[in-house]
Amino acid sequence: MCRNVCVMLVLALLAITALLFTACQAAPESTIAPVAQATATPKEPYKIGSLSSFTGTIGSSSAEWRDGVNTVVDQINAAGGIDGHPLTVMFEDDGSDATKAATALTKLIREDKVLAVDGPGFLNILPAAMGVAEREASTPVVLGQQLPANLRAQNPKWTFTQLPTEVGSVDSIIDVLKWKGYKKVITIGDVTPLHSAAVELLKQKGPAAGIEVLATGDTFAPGDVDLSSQVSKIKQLADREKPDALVLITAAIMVPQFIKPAKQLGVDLPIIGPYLFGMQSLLGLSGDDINGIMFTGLKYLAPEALPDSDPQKALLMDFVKHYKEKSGGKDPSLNSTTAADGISIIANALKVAGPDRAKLRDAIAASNFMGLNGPINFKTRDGLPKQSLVIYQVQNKKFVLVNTIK
Amino acid sequence: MRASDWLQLFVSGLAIGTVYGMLALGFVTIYRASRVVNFAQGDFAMLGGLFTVYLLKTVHLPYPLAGVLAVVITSTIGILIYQLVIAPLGRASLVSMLMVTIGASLFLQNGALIAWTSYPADLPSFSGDAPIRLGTIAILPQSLWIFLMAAVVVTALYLLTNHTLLGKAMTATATDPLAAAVVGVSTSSMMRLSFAISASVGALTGLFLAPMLTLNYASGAILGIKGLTALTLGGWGTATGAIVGGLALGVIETFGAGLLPAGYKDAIAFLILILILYFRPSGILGSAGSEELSLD
Repeated sequence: MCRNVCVMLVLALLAITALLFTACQAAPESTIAPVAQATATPKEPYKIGSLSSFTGTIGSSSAEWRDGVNTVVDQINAAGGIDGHPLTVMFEDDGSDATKAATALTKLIREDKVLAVDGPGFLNILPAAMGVAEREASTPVVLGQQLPANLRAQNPKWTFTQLPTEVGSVDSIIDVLKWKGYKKVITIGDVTPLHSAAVELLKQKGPAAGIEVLATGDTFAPGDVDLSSQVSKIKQLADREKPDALVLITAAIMVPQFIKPAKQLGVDLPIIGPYLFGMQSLLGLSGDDINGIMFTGLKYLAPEALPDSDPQKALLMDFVKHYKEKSGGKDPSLNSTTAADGISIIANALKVAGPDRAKLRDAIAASNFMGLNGPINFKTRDGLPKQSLVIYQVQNKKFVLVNTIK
Repeated sequence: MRASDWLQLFVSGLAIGTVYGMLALGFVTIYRASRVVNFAQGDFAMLGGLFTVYLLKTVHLPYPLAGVLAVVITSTIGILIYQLVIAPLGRASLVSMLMVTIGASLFLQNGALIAWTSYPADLPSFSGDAPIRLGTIAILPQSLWIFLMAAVVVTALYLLTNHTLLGKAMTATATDPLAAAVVGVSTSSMMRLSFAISASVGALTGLFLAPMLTLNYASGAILGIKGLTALTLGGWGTATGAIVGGLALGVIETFGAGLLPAGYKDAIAFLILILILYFRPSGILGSAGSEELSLD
């Protein structure tokens, strides 16, 4: 009897503790962003959703997304909202998981009845999010990333994407290779459709630019902790072929897993990466081994280094100033500017179309303005042009703009 | 692939195989004392590595002190898991025991996620990263540290189990708890001790592994599965089976990754687990322990 009571007590304690942990992690769910001062006679708020990975594999970068959203929402509301309607944001957590993302997006659309949704931005869950957006066919969803080419080709009506496609990404990487005079490179990417497509595209486009692109045929999954086998094969290939550089197409979080065995096995090739390396979190990983890595990143990383003629410079400088106030002095990351651009896309369309969701969708489709990450235009599904990117190198654990892309 | 490449893979396989063997040894230590298959074993390795990272890089303790403290903290967590999760269940069914250790594992993973985020972390190598060259073969100095740690741990456990009264009391507790209690052995103390030893072995493994690989909150799950696979391969219930199984799994896995695309490496481990369970459930060194694992 006593033992049973003890068992029940322990199980109850564990359950309560687990719930507490879950509650701590899921705190951003269904919370409403603080609304800054609205107009003197505030009209009914425009409610929009923001879906992001507050927990799970990439949950650690959630604050960057939230602060990006809150920065731009507060700016809009401080300026009187949208025709007097303040913006409120319903945050939902996708748990870095496709099933949870589908559930949360459905909830935002059906139960919370938001006018539009900003996010999600995790590559692995975009197809699920697009599936829900097109199934519901009622609420525009602005994703914080690009869909794989096969899904873009379906020309989804209610789903909009941001950032460069694999085409813009690869074109910019080729520009870096040409600038550095590299004639022979090895490439490897993770299994994410956008990244495996980029690897294939680089192999196709490289020769036309006078660059021989080699590959071991290996890949890896985001989240793999041991890439020593992949690096070992790269080492064998590099010993035979003597390449000039290694093009690593993956997310910033995977860079430490790669450079650790690379250093141990003596793979000392310069590493070139995609714009996803432009996460502030990269600088905190892998100690000094991160120095020297080069990538084509968006302009938010060093706006002060941009020429005054750059149309994004003033926008970014202003955003960075407000973002730092909102985030306690932190610099914005890719998640921050993408989340903020998503809100701007929706807000600009609301100004034109008002709260009618079908008209709002059409207004989003007709967007044409300069965003923090580059020109926003959905007339084609080509994503940001390569000129939105500049070349960075990590020096002394800082992102340093070393060249622009013409 | 050249012969030297195969030899290089073999050496790499032995190093990672030793890690798997140590993880399997942790499973055995608890299993022999309490007949519990502890699914949180891999998480002890994760905790050992991440506690050391925290104590070294955030608290700025000297490396050796950070390592020792990490092992002590993880060992204490092992004891708490026994005290709060296992002991209250008494002689519950195997399924119940499996479920609570899986719960404990999820609890530790989520605790680590909150404490240290999902970003990967690593430790500096104990004695530099420059590989030692033996002809065309490169051996990482950290691999040698792992071999040394494994040799010390296995010897210490052997001496404890076979040449001390304490070890015999642990074995007696595992063999027949009632008879052990009748002759004055405190069975609960023996089980508590087995969890402490097992958690220490796991933490040591994580501490020695973190300079070779990066770890994050989720690393314990895959490490635990590798340890369990090694144990199943080698044969349940014996320390020798754990080490042999670990080495075999490491070498097979590394050779497989050399022949096939490396992304299949983890799939090879699972395939081995299925084949062993189907064709030779008692493992390479065949012990009767596997029969006692039926889910009755």
